[in-house]
Amino acid sequence: MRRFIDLHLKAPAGDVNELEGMLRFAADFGYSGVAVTPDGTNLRLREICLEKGLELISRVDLRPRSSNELKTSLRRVRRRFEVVAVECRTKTVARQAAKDHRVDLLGFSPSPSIRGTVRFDRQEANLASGSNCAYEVNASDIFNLTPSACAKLLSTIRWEIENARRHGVSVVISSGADSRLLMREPRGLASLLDLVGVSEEEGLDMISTIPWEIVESNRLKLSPMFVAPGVRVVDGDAR
Amino acid sequence: MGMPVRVKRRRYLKIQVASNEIYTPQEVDEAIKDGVLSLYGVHGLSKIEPSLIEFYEGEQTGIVRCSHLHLRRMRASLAYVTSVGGSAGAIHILKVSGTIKALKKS
Repeated sequence: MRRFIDLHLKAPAGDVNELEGMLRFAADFGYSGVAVTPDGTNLRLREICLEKGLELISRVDLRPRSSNELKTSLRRVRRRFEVVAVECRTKTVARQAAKDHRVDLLGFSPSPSIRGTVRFDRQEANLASGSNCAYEVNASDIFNLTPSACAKLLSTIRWEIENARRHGVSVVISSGADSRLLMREPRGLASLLDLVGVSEEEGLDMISTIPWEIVESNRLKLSPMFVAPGVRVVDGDAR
Repeated sequence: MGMPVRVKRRRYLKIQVASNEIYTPQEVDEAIKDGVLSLYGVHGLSKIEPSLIEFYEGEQTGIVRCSHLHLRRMRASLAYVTSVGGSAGAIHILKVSGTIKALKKS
């Protein structure tokens, strides 16, 4: 049985009740885990998730303006969060994020003016394949757009997913919701990928197995038993 | 002689409308069809054949019927709905079945 995960819920600023409602919705929809930004470490939320049988994953979204700012932020947050996502707003940031092993998810602006120049192109996909970064699609980006803007964004996403496929880069779909009304059940989110030429099984993997692999590999890296990729302490007392 | 086969196979979806407002069946039916039209156009609407066959205003739940060949498109169209009757709302699928009887049992 598939274990679904919504890797991107945005905590509404100052509205804890709405966030609690979102977590309850996620549990009712059948998600096994959710990543919340920026309050993924909040103890009260951990309690709600525990009560609902949801795994809470801590996630941080970085929006750096330069590659130096990105590197500084990554040094600061990498050991504190299970998932690190970067929203690429300039080409230099996008290139740096794609080649940095500390970045898990690459996201791009839904704004057509920014997406026109900064997007998941061939070079970006090539760099991301070498550093194991995944490309993230936020479903909330396509909601509430005019038909022509939506069509343009879907066309860009289709092209970006094709680039990711060609270079073996993982693709993840998340809701990107900041309210209950923007949340969708996992099969609904996966079905939206029909619009960008992704098959049903592939779409379901993008919301279950692929994000879980990212979370589990990062949890392993953050555990005290981790030494280096492929090396971990199996018995601390053995001398 | 084999069993008679129905010409058109359907899927029935139990839905719930999430919003702060209370909607009528007409508003929900219109929102569903608008969702399909926005994503797949008139051609898609004719293929998917969405139809709200029951709606309980008290619970804001209902049953939508569609062609079994286009269930994925129906799911995508419902996921795409962000407004119902002119106010913010979403339509969530609670269960999918091949018969109304099985859907009502759950």
